[in-house]
Formats: sequence, C-alpha cells, structure tokens
Amino acid sequence: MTVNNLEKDLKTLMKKQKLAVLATCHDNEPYTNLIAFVTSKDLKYIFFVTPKATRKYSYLHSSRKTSLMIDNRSNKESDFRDAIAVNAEGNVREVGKKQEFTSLYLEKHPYLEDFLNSPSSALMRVEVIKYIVASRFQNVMEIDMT
Amino acid sequence: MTELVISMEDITEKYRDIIGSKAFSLHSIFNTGLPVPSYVCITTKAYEKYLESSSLKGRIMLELSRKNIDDMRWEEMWDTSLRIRNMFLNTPIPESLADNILEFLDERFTDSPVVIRSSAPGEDSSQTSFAGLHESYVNIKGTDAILEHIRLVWASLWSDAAFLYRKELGLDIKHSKMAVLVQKLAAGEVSGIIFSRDLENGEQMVIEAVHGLNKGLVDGDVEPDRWTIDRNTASILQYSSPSDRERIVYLRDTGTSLKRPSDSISRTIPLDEKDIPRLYDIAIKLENLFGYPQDIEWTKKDNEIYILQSRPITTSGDKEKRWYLSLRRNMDNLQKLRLKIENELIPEMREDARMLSSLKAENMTNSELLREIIRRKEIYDQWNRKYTDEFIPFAHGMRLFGQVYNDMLKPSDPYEFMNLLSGSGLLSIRRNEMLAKMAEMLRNDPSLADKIKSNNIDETFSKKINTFLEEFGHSALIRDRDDLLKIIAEMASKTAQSIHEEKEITDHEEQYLSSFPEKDRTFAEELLEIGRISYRLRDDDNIHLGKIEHQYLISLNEAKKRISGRLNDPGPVDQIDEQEILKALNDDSYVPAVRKHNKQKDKVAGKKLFKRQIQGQPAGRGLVTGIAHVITKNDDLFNIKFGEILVCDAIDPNMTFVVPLVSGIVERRGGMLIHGAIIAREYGIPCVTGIPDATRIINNGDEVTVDGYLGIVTIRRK
Repeated sequence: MTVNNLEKDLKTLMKKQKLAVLATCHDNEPYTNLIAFVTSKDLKYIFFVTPKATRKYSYLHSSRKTSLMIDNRSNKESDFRDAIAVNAEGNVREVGKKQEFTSLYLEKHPYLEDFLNSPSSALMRVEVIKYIVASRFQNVMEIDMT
Repeated sequence: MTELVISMEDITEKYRDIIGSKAFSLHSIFNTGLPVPSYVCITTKAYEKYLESSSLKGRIMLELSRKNIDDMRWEEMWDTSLRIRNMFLNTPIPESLADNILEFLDERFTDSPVVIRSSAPGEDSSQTSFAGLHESYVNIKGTDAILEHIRLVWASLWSDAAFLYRKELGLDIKHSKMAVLVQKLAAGEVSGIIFSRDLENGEQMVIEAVHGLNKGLVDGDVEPDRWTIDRNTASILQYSSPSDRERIVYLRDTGTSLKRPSDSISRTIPLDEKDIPRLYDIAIKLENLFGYPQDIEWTKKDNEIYILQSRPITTSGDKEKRWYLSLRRNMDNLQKLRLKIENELIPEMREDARMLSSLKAENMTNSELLREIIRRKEIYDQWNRKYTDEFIPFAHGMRLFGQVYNDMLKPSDPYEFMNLLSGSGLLSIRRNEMLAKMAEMLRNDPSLADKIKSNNIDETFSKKINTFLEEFGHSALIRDRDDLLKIIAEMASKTAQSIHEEKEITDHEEQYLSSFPEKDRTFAEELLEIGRISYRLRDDDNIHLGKIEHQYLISLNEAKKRISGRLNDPGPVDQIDEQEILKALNDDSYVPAVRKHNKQKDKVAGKKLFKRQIQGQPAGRGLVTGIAHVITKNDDLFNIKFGEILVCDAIDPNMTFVVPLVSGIVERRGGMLIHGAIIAREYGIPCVTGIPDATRIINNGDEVTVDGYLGIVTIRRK
C-alpha cells in the first residue's frame, strides 16, 4: 500500500465511522469509553464532546495522554481480510466551542447539537502524534503526524 | 409523477402503504362517485426524505432513548412529545422537497384555504381506529403556512396521545411514518357525523349534525342534534335536540373559532327531512364498501353532501387512557374550570380544612375518634378525586399556553415559555419568603438562636411562628413548631437561595404578545393569564390538599398514640395500617398487627451493581455537585443541610420549604411541569427528574452531580 493510498483509506475510514473508543489513564489504571468524533480535514486533530461530570473528563485533566481506536469491523470472518483498525495516539485538551470547531463537529453529528451546546459539556481536541493503521489482519503501518 | 406527492386522481392500490389509511379510504369513496373535497397526498416517502435530509431522525432517536417509554409517566410523554414537536417546528422542509410539494398545491388550490390532515399507515385499519391521536388543521392559507402545518402533522406522529397508544400503533422510529392529506376546505353550512351502526344497539344508526363546521362536534365543543335511525327500515326512531345551539365553529382569517350564531340559526334544526335519507344511504353504501360499521364525517355545502373521512368504529377501551385524552381542553373549557376552581373548589377546600382543624382529636373518645378518622379519610379521598377530575385537567392550561407559545415564537428551548409563567405568586414561594424572613431575624440576632435552643422564644418571634403555622401549617409535613424551628435555624446558617429573578420578563411578555397579529392580542393575553393561573394553582391546590391530609393524619396519629401501649415494641407504630388502627379503636383489647418491613426491597441497588450515571429529564438548568440528602420519610426533610442535593421520590408543594436550602434536586417522578421542576425553576436550581428508583440507588452522603442541562445524574460513592 502506498502512502497516498494509506492516507486516502484512513481519511475514508475516519469520515465514515461515527464512533471511536477513547482510552484514558488514571492512577496507572486504563479506562475506555465510546465517543462520537470528527477529525479535522488534515487529520491532525480529532474532536469529541463529553459531559463535564464524567470520569473521562476528570481523567483527561489529570493526564492528557490518550489513545483512540477507530475501526470498520462488521463482526464477520471477512473482517480478518477487510477490516481496518486505526489507533490514534495524542494529547487531549479542552477547547472553546468556536464556530469553526462546532460546525465541523455538527456537520458529522448534527443530532448532537444540544449535547455540544450544553454548558455542562466540554469540547475536547486530540492533537494526534501518530496513527497506527492495521489491515489484513496483521499488516501494521504508522503515520507520524508531527 | 414522483412518489413524494400524489394527486387524488392518480392514487391506486400500489400506493396504499405510502399514502396512509385516511387517504386510501377517501380514494375508495371517491371511486364510488360520492363527492369528496379535492386533495393531494404528501406520501410517507416525503416524510422520510425530510427526516433524512435534516438531522431529525438522529435527534428523535436520542430523545426516545432518554428513557424507556414504558417507564414514562404521562407527563413525561407530553414532555418528550413537546421536545420532538419543537424539533419539527424548527426544521424547515428542504427547498427541493418544498418545491416538489408546492408544485402540486399551486396547481390545485391556488389561493384557496385548505385542511391539512394526518394519514398514518395503519391508523384506521379494519380492526382498529385511532381517531384523535394525530393532528389536523382547518383553514390554512398560503404556502409558508401550509408547509409549516405539514410539519406539524408529521410531528403529531409523536404526539403524547400516540405515545399512549404506542403498542397498538407499533410506534417506533425505524418503521413509523406519516403521510399528510392537503384537502380543499369544504366549509359547509351544516356538518356532522354518522355512526352507521350504534355500538349500544346494532339495529340502529346514529346521525349527528351541527351548524357550521364539524370541528366543534369532533372536539366536543358543540352539542349536536341527534337522530337514531332504524337500520332496516331507515325510519327515524328518535330525535333529540341539544340543550342549546349557542355555539358554532366558523372560519377566521386563518384557522377556526367558536362564536354565537344568529338567532335564526340557533332556532333551526340543522337537517331537514330530506337530508336524513340521503345520509342514511351514504352510511349504508360506505359500510358495504369497507365491510365494517363506519364513523363518517360529512359536511353539506350548497345542498351537496361531501364526505370528509370514513373510518371503522371502534371503542377506545382503556379507562385511564381515555381519561388522559380527555385532558385536552380548549380556552373556553379552561376559563370555566378556572372559575369553578377559584370560586368554588378552593374556598370549599379551605373551609373543610378549617372545619376539621376546629375539632380536636385529642378530646374525642375512642369511638368518636374512630368515626372521625373514617370521616376525614372520606373527605380527603373526595378531594383527591376532585384533584384528578378538576385540578389536573386545569393544569392543561400551562400545556396549551406552551404549545401556542412554541408555535408562534419557535424557540430553541421548548420550555422557554415557563419563564413567562414563573413569578406568578405561588403560595409555596410566599411560604418560603416568610421562612426566609424568620431565618434572617435569627441570623441578625444570635441571642435568638440561644433562646430557641433553651425553648425561651421571645414574643415577636413567637408571633411570627404562629402566623406562619396559621397560614401554612399545619400541612401534612410541617407538624409542629419544633419541625419549623429546625428548618429556620438551618436557613439562618447561611444566606439561602432566593427566587430566580426574571429581569426581562416585561420584554419577554411583549415579545410573546407582539408575535400575534393585532386582532389576536386579546386571545394571546387571555391564554397567558390562563397559563399563569394554571401554573400557580397546580402548586397551590396541593398546599390546600395537604392541609386536609394533615387533619386526617392528626386523627390517625392520635389513634396511634392511644394504641401504641398495646404493642410489645412501640417503635413500629408507623407500620400499622389504617384498618388495624380502626379495629384497635373499636376493641380495647385488640393488639394491632404491625406491617413487616421489607428489608430486601431496600437493597435493590445491591452491592455488586452500582448505577453511576443515569439519564432523566433536564428540568432545571445548571450544573452542580453536592452531597446527597435522600428523603425516605418525613423527618428526613428537617435534617437537610445547606447546599445538599435533595433526592426524593416525588416533591409536592408541601415539601418545597426545603428547596431554598438545597443546591440541586433529583426526583424519581418525571416531567417538566411537575412541582419539583416548577419550584427548581423559580429558584434557578439545577434539577433532574424522572430518575427511576432515585431514593434507592442514591445513598445519603453520596457525592452527586446534577446536570440540569442534559438531564444526567452522576453518583460518586465514597
């Protein structure tokens, strides 16, 4: 797979998938959640929204490091051949609900408008350091985003 | 031809599933040659396209996933329905779809007024009929108004009444769809309904008729003339005239209204002897066409009888569902109900409470006390029934106001209308203000607190306490001075919450009124007034009911005191049922049975399963974290500490004296217009309602976050 093709597949996957698994770490204990995400056009950033009263929000305040998993598995045998699983590593911080961010988010998740706009929720941005793309069961490639 | 809109002439069997039952039934009638007002059908495909091209499908799904509908109370269903309706109100039809619809409408109706009716697939099948669950709008003019009302009919697929019949309708976001009929308005001089077979007597047919449009008859606002016909001979068996013909539904510029007809009309029987056989023939023809007894709506214009719709006759069954559907009231009903409540019921309630409080239970003999308990229980039960029959329906005033407000202003927050209702001088707020003043006296004079502790209160303060108890006590909950002093002392420890001031209320009111055309301002003002009174009385009537309940409880407590000595362990005297108490009063040697406390029940939360985050309804905006104070018995109310989160099963206004102390409210009972939500909004306190088993899954001392924006409660167990 060429770099161009890989980036193209990655962009398609990130656009198509609505949910990702977000991993955080607190007191040396890993913790995961499902989140609704969107990426910036250049894939450098991943945005998601969380209520402020959640564990993931408080964990991300104590450690900004995160890992996200996005995949297109269909829970069939063919997944071993066709599924792509992407791991995005980076640092998270809360950002203001600026129009350029919110419109990007709502373009993909328009039904989450109330959730995003609630004063009790936070818009979070992951600055991606690298993507690790696994395909065809065991083929793994890394894309450095720094 | 697209399959988004289909004209009446182009309808065939293959479109049956996408045009809905009403449209297909009209098509069948049209094919028999009977006159049907011209119509087009906006198919379910248009509904789906609208949903898909906006974010509505996902938003409705999220709204419906908030809580299992089976676990919702009626008020929660109304809230869910209101929120969904607001989504439709604020989501325009995409231009390409609107153009497609308008192309058909312009061709057929040019500038003439139309009726917009629901036509949900399966709504009127041969076995079932769901009349009145979805909306219809009469006399709509202009393209923008027509498109908006099409959206409102679509929204009514998710009406509170539809939620009530969700199982019968098979209501779900994946499969449920709505088609809409846009039909030329046939404004008949006389209209009515035919029941081709009387449910009470299968040999008879019933014809009902009113002057003007039949909307008044269908909505129950206008009483009809009524003929009972022998189905076999077509002869009239009985005619009954209404008590009067003083009201008629007429067309306004847009929409309809009730008015008094001319004297000559009100003296005239709407049908003559030639009409009855014509209507009889139509009914038999339609019954034969559909194969089932029919409920037929018709109108007569220029001596032509038009069929507006025909559906199978069914009974609505469930008594409680029927009661709920009967809660829909119009302004006229609400005005009458208001007068009855304010001028008759509340004064009677106060008088009953006063009369009962003048009789001292402690001075009665056991047999007198027994009779008095029974009498007080009867009085209390009687008021409880009136509460269901009269007070709850009047609460519909708030709902009606909210719906009209949302239709006119289309706010993004469907509960914005509540801001215009708050500050209506609730009794509970007045009560809390009196408490706050006494707390302030205590705060400013520390010696007073010492005097209270040593039970040596000075005269001025004592007078205030007595005035309070006379006016608001004794309620079912505030039993005596000690209870009251505890609360006042806690309130004095810090500055308690005060009422959330709506500074811009005048501007807001002006904004509401100016959204109406000049000629409708009086209606807008009257509706606002009804909304405010309904909001206030919803709270106040409970305070009055609480006073009567208190008198009943006094008599019961006196009896408990007398019989407690017969128990081996006097502790569980509160766990004796009323019947056991009465038996013990009747027989001095009888030892009453003590109800066994179900400890198992209290352990629902268990040790292994811990509900950490629960979604309910966002009933008061704000985000707060605090320590939970769970109310499981009356005494818990008096131990509440400043800044705690009040967790309770169902707040009634007799409990809300603690609200100024708390920083957030979590309630099991759900809804936006319930007392907890109303009072939280008055004080601007975050509140989440509709948390199942709230008082069991949250423990005293848990750290609780109340997210009143999103309706989420998060529990952190220490």
